Amino acid sequence: MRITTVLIPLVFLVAGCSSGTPVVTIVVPPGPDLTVSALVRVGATWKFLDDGTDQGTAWREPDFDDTTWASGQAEFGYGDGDETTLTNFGPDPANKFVTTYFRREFQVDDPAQVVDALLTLLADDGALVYLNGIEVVRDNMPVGAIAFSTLATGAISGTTETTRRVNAIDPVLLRQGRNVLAVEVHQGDITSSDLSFDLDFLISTGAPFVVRGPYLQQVTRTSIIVRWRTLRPSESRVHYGAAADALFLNAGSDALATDHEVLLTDLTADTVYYYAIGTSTGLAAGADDSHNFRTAPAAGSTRSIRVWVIGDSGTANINSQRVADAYRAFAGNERTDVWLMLGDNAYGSGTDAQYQAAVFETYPDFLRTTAVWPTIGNHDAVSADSPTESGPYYDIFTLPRHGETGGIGSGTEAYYSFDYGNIHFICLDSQDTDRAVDGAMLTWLQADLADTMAEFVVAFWHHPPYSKGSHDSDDAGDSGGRLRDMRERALPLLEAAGVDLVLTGHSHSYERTVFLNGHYGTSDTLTPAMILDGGNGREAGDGAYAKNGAAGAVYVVAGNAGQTGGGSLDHPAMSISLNARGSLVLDIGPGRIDGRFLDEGGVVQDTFTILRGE
Amino acid sequence: MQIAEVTRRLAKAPRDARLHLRRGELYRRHGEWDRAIRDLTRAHALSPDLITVSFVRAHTLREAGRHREALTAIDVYLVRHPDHGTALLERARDLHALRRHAEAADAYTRAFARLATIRPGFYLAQARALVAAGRSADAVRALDKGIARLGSALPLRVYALELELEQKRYAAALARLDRLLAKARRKEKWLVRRGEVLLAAGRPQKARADFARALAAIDALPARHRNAPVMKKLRTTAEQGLRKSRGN
Repeated sequence: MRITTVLIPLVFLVAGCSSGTPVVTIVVPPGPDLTVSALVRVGATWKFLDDGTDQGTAWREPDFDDTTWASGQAEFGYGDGDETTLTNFGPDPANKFVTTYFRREFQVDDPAQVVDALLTLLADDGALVYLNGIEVVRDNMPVGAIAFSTLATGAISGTTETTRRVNAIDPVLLRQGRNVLAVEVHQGDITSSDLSFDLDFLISTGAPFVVRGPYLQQVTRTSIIVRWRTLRPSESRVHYGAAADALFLNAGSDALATDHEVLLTDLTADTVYYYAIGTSTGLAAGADDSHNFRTAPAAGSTRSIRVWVIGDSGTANINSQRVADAYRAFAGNERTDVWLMLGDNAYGSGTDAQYQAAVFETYPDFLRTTAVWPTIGNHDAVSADSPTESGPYYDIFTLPRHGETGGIGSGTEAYYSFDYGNIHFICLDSQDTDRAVDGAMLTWLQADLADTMAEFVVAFWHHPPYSKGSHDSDDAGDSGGRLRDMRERALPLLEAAGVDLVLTGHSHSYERTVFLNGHYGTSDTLTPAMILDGGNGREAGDGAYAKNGAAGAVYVVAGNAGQTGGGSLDHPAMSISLNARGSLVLDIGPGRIDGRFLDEGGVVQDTFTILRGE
Repeated sequence: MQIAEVTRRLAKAPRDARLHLRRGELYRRHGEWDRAIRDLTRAHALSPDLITVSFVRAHTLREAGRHREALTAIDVYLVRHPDHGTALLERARDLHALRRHAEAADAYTRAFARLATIRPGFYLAQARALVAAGRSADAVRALDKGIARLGSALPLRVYALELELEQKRYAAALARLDRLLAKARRKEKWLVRRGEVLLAAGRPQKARADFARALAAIDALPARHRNAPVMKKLRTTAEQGLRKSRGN
């Protein structure tokens, strides 16, 4: 990549920026710098030995003679039905061979050009990988010397069996010319029903490999944060501009990091930018049409805002995929402006690995084009240390503490607010923050509500104030009283300030209220006076909900983007209750909010509209 | 689902302290305090050296409202990890709940010194402990430390303001209000409060001006905000303040 530093009026680069002659680094981003080569691909041909003999240690060496070994194409193994080459486990199914050996050679022309190497391994149950005789990966194997008879640390099962685990390999181990990968796959149990092996081995001559992201945070009218992860420490650099082949601006840091975070500033409102990530000398991802974002519109904009809402989505399985696919098909080319996650974003404990599967490998396309705004759920909280705001949830997300995105700074990432166009979004923490009315969160909430001029106020958190799904809001003991607390304490404050829409998850269902005001007790205390409009809220049905004054809000439970959970689904405040997976799609334009529940099959099962009467 | 899995493993290894710890933590997350504490107590009995158990057990006891036992458990943990910030914070919260306010306030100070990130709520808790201990001036100083450290800390600013008023430190209260006003996009709430402070300080003319400005600000709001219950209530307060400032 050629980089030149010149003096150029900034106004020539980004319309709307102030004039002047600051020093701007101009990057001429040639596509070829995004250079990745596969040294060994998934499904490659390998030599292998599956006769149950102990090969000692000589077989790992590059010069070992493997000409008598069999040859076959990955995936290797037995017992799962997805193998291309079946391997032999011996004559006794109750006493299977513990170790099976694999070797493959490949060529490297100029190892000095390689800046990063990445080996992605599928091994059931455990494996050791050697590159030119040096151990480079130890996967699910005990520490210390490994013998022919050493069992893997434990038998793996479920989705772990098919999870390909990513490993950084030191490129200095590569040799010019012939190189050899040698792999020994070990059973975790001699009675194990299956064995699997495959891998791919990639090198980059541009920038370190990206293993997470890029993903976007805290979009405003003039700024956005771009984050990504590499396994190898490198500088953090985002190249951006008005077109994928015109990334004339860059920002970043020279400090070496694996979790990269770059703030882009001085952007123009409601403008699409393209970007790439990497270093000053190489691109790791982007510089194509799929890496772009749009800045938030200015207050007063009349453009309709598309909001995608998913709750309890963190199952990392076909269910969450289907929900996402349904929205992809529904949205088509229409951009998602705001993306809300209602908690339980990564089951079962919100670990970093679970976030990798449930978020980063489930929604990569959304993550690189739309900033995500999450709230914490009870499952995310298992691995998060809320008092110190550490752990995966807090490490992964960069959330506003100081009012960077509009609203009043809360001083914490646990609860925050942001403005997007004419909408003020408020995220509360119903899981791990004091819910007392005179506590810090609800004190902040009152001040934040009293400071917004937005046309609409949308609040979201995890625990639903009204639900008869997999959680019961009438049960004061449900979830430690969190449902009750939020209903009794947060709702009066929100309604007093004229909140329009409240979104929650936790119950694995879709439940949507009629137009409510003042219902803070259990479901048996609901009175007609609290129902401002008991219709279905559909313009083509009973009519839209008309918000003529400040009173009236719709409450939606949408904790169903990954699973369903049943329940009686008969809360009397609900207009509709469904035991179905899906997501909520909102379109918020001048004077109106249109909501649609989109199920996993792509069918819109509910619609509602709130019209502002002024 | 996870609890069932750990229970299945425990059936095979009933003396595995780590499994009891794991299940106890899962029960805790589901709010099943008794089951959680039973597992954690068992884990401690099986492996007294597994010091993490003391920490999780203390946390669980605190969530269950059993602060005296929680304090004992966290003190065991702190013997081994005397500088553990989160444990020090847990100890402060237990002392606070046990109404040992002065000790709690000091414990908060020790914890804050060890923590990289402190939520506004903990500074608020420390200030409340100091007030309960009869040390309101110290509480204001503690809040100011929090404000200096956190930057955005509106609840701390509001509580400091109220404490200044309780101590009849009107000038200090007005200075704090001016800072809030300067940052606010919507001024009416703070103008009304400022009017109230000025009235209390015996400055009705100034108060009248602020109440009038507040009412004008409310009138200028779009109807959706002006008609919100919280604004109607504020209007009533401003109008009452205006009358009082006129001596009515």
